[in-house]
Amino acid sequence: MSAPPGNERSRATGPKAPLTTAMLDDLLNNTLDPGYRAAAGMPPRRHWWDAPMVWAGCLLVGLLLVTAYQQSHLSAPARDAARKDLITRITNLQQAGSRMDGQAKQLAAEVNTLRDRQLSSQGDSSLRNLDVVSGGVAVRGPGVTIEVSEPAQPQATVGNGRAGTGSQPQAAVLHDRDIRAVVNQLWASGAEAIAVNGIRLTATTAIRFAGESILVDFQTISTPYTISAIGNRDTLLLDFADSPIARQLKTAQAVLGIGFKFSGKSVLTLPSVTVAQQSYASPGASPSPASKSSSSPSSTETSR
Amino acid sequence: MIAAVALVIGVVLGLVFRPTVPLWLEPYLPIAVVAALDAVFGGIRARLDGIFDAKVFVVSFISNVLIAALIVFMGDKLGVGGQLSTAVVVVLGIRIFGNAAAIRRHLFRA
Repeated sequence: MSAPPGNERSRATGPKAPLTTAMLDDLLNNTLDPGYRAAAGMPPRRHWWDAPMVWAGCLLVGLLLVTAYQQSHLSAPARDAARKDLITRITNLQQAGSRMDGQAKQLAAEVNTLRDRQLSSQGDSSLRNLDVVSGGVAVRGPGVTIEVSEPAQPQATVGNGRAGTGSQPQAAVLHDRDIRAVVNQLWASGAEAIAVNGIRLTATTAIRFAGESILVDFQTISTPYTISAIGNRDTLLLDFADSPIARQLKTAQAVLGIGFKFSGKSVLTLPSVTVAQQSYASPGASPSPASKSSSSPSSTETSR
Repeated sequence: MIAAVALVIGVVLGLVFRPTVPLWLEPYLPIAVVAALDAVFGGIRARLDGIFDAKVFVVSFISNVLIAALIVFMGDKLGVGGQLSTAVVVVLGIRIFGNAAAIRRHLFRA
């Protein structure tokens, strides 16, 4: 940068020098503000405000430097602290929620054992069937698992955080309706119990979409989505492989690159869920509860 | 000498009063700092060259800061804020280096 070779300078400032070269040369060699030289050419004038002006300018520079330093270095820890505080609050609430859920499950199990003790063997099997269908007890049995996942995110160039330069987050390819279609297909081909990412589906479980994430029973789940269903393994597999949603997902796999695979499993264990007390619905008079219950989840799911 | 004292007083004032910068002004602060540094180095060099002028110093300082912030502001509005702030930093950085080299030659004759 300092002391450029002489011929370069003469070439750049010569009459034939291209404009860009002259500009670059000017930028590199005339680093002093041209105003100083212009002012030096003029007859010297002394004013009383010269010294205070320099004084104020230097004061401003110092103030600016220290303000910028404080802004970037001292405000960052505060921001971090707020973020950490929020994170701890979220995890605390999540832990409290899961603790209460576990408590509720434990109490439900207690209620079940007490009820079993009270009831004689006669109504037992129909009650157990109802428990399985409503999702009140954990179940195990043969079935299928279907796994779909979002395509791997292309590694976007990281913007430097300034507004307008960051990359947009990519929208989710898989939506609630895909998960719902898979679940409905499984109910339709006779699944007896279904769980999505370990969340058991009941007659009142909604699969919905909020912002960018899928909610199952109002709990956020994220990719990969694993749908496990207990039922007749062969029927479930064959029916699912033949279903429109499987074809759709296969197309999406080829075109959009989502992950999609399904397989039969000899033993699956699905967790229980705390079933809400029914406050308004009471058993109807007409059909026997056992025969009605086998079809009730599928009809509720399809209606959503 | 008086300028250095003023600079120190400015730093102390900033440390004591801790002025808070409004949020919308925050992105332009680093650019303003670079522009201010350019003005300061230019002033020191002019002083060593013997052509220092108070008016030029103050006006160049204020206008550099304002124009640098304005360029970045416009870039933000146009969606090229990052690139434009890079451009401002490169140009001012070259000037700072050049002036620093001139100051070094004055002080150390090297």
